[in-house]
Amino acid sequence: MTKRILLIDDEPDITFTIKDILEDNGFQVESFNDPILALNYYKVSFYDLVILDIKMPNMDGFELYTKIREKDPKVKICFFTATAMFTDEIKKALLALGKTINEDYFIQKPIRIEVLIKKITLIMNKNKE
Amino acid sequence: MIYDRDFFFKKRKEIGLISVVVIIISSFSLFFYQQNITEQNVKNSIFAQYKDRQIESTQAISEHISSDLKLLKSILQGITDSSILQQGLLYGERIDKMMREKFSEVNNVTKVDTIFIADKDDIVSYEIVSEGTRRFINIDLSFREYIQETKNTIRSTFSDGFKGIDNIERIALAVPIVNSSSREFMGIVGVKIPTESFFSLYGNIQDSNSQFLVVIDKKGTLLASGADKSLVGKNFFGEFVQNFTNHNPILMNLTQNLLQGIPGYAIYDYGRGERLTTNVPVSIQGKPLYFIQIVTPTTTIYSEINNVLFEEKLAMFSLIGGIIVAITALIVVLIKWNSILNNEVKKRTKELQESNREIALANEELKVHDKMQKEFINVAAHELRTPIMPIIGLSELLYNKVLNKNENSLKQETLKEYLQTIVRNAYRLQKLVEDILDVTKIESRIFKLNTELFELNEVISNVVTDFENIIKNKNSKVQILCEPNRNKIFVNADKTRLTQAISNILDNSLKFTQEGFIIITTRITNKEKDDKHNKVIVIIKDSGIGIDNEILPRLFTKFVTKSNQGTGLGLFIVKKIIEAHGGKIWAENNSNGIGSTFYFTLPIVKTSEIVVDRG
Repeated sequence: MTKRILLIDDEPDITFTIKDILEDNGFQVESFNDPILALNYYKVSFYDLVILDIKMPNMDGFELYTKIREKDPKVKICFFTATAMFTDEIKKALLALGKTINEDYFIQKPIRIEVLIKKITLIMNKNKE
Repeated sequence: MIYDRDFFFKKRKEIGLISVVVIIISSFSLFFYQQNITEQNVKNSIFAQYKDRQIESTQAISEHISSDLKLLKSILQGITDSSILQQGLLYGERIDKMMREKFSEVNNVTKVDTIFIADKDDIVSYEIVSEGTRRFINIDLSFREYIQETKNTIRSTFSDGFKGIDNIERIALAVPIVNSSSREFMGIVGVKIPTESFFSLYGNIQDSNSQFLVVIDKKGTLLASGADKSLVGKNFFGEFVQNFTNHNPILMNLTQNLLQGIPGYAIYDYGRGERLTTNVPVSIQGKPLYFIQIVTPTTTIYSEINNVLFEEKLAMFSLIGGIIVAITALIVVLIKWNSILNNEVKKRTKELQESNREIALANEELKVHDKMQKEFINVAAHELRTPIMPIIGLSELLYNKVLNKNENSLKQETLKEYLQTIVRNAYRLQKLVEDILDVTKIESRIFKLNTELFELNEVISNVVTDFENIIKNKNSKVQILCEPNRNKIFVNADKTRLTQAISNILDNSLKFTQEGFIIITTRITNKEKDDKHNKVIVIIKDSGIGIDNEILPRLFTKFVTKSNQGTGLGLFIVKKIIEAHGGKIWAENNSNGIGSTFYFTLPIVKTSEIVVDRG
């Protein structure tokens, strides 16, 4: 069964690139450049994985994460970010939201296709968060 | 504690003053206390010394009188032993000659107003008297006690006081003329001495206010008295004198002792002020003949004592005064010193605080710098990594597809789109790298302009043409307009940097303008008549979303951006470029509420100067 992925990143070139890469690797991908639009069109219990950019206009990745979690508590969510601040500050930001998240759920931009697919597969195969 | 110390520092002048006053008061109190204790002792001691001295001087006066009287007696004995008198001559020319010599001789010794010779029947046979003195030639002197005594004892006799008809108190010395071989009494040679003029040679008998002399004979008759002239000739124990002395028992007792030959002293007051009296008899060959009293009003003693004490006080006072002045000077110096030290400490503390503040400030700057560095790394990392993703991702994807020879999956359209995206992101990356390098250059101050003379309108036109192409490619609805200035505007500037600056501003405007226009105009300011200060203002007006009020004050600051596709470096670089050219840059939101306008100025070069340059 084809896995469904929702990709949200404000950079059109990123969504364009990642969407094509993932589709080339057999995933079904929906993508949005606007986080608010993405939230509005969000389909509960539909996606196997949600990939979120962190630095976005209007709504950042953490807020979007919280909103999606409210709608769809079971869905797997991972972050896809180019920021240099990695674990410590992101963890802090998440703790402020009352969440803990494993480092495995962070994917660093840019990334080789092979590594990206491996990481996504790993996340999808995890039983529980 | 600090408060207390501050309090002390603030009040140190008052404290100093108070301590000076306390020192002065306590010194003088101590001084006067000490003075009062010792003064009485000193007074007593000085008084005792004075008294002893007076006793001694009274003794000396007594001896002086005694010796003068002895001399007188020996002169008279010389006369009685003379050959003329021994021959029985009691008058005549030879006697007269000798007696005149002797009269002047005795008067050299003391005051004698009469010298006489009496025969064995007491009849005066010869006499010399001072001027104004009564003569007694041929008068019988046998009524005089001293004549009788001399005759009876055949010895020299000093008489008690007696008054003559002239009412002058006198004493007399009578020496018997005795034949040296037959021892037969032949007569008497005598002198009469007026007591007042005689004793005035030995002491003051005029003024009772200072030390004076009183002389009494064996019977108690006053022969001379400085206390009062009227007392002379009166008996001390008589009513007149006793009334005068108010029957003072001390004086009475003292005088009685004196007449018994006992010297002594007493202090008494019979109504004319306290007096110190010292008594000594005047004796010849152990026999008291007269009695002298030296009387001193104690006020004169005390005034003398007080003078001594005053001098002593003055000396002590000056000493203490000197010490106080010295201590005061010391305190003043200490206060001054303290004040100087205090000021020095304050100064040093202030300097220290100043330097601490500077350090804190520098530290703060370092922190800010550190934070900015971190921020820069964050932003730069994000912005650098983002375009790499499509470049790597699409290149790899493309490569995979080519490798798999999956011709179907790689349409021509897709390939074109992939390559466009790769190129676009590569350019974006390039721009970013350039910006970062520029900022690094600016911040390390190796930023230099390569200036040349050129016409500004041309450069603006070129930039605008480039942007028209970009807009065309993007299918943007924005229109870019350029209104060239009618005048040629020459500037001495770095063409590349100026192009970069205008591009960056246009880039920024385009980023926030979805539709409408961007207009570039130029205006020459002519405010200054002096050509040197003429400027061109380049105005870039857009119809975009305007500048966020939160951003506006920091618009040209590094990393300040409202875009998620910007590093916030573009306008920062623009500002630095314009400022390096000696211009200014600012921006504002349009008054109609649509879009914003950027302004920058550049100094312009006058046409005349260009001609000279080219010539």
